Amino acid sequence: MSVATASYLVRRAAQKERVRILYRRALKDTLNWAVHRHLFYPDADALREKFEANRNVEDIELIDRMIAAGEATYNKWRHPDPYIVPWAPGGTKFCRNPTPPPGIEIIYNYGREDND
Amino acid sequence: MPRKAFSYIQPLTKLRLKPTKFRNPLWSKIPKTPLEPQFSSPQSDSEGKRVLHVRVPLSRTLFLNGSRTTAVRSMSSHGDDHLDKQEVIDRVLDVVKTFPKVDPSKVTPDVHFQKDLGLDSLDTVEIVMALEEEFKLEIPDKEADKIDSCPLAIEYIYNHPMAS
Repeated sequence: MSVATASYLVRRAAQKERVRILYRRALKDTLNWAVHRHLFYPDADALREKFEANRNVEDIELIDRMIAAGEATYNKWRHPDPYIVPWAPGGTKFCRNPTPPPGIEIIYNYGREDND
Repeated sequence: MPRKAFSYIQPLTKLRLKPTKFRNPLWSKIPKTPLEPQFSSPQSDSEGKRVLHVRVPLSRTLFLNGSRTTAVRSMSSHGDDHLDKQEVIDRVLDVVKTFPKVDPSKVTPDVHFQKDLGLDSLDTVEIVMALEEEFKLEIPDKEADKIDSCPLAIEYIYNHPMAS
């Protein structure tokens, strides 16, 4: 394999990864904008259509430019208040109940032991 | 009649100054092992009626809504209920099987999404997102990009502390 081919393949792999991550972020963002499933599914299909339309593009420079344009569009339409899983940084429960030090435990027996 | 002097300093309860463990002393009577069902003093009368009391340990009680209460649980509100491996496998396979482009009969715990199931890379992204929703996770983009097969997904989710 020549050096040119190897560098081409490396660049293609990097492009594919960028496309995958862009699609993933855009799909999540679609879910942020469309809260209900019946709104989300058509939007997700439309997004997929946009990606599928350029499936067979071969020109490597053109692909780079299209990815850059796609990322710019994603950044422009990004949701200002996206959904974050509660425990993640920025989520509603982030650091709310940190794990107690080992050896401390609550035994929930609802006062039964006094009445037995 | 002289009135008794009342000391305001007298504590109502004895203070225990030296706790042996970080535990409420009132709760120390709970046995370590769950109680076996036992019959307490059957009272029989002349008709032969018997009143039996069956003690069911609290840790095995299953409520109507399916939630299980355990007698001992840690204070943390999350992260202490780890999934077991079989449950992770079952749920991952359920998610993959319900994906529209997948033939459910081909799905086994060790399939590769693209090589064995004939999906493309964007379908893989969608499956990983479905898995994130199923297990209430948020996987960083770079790590989610690496997940491309069932064994990897099962391994990642099983080892994730927040999977539920």
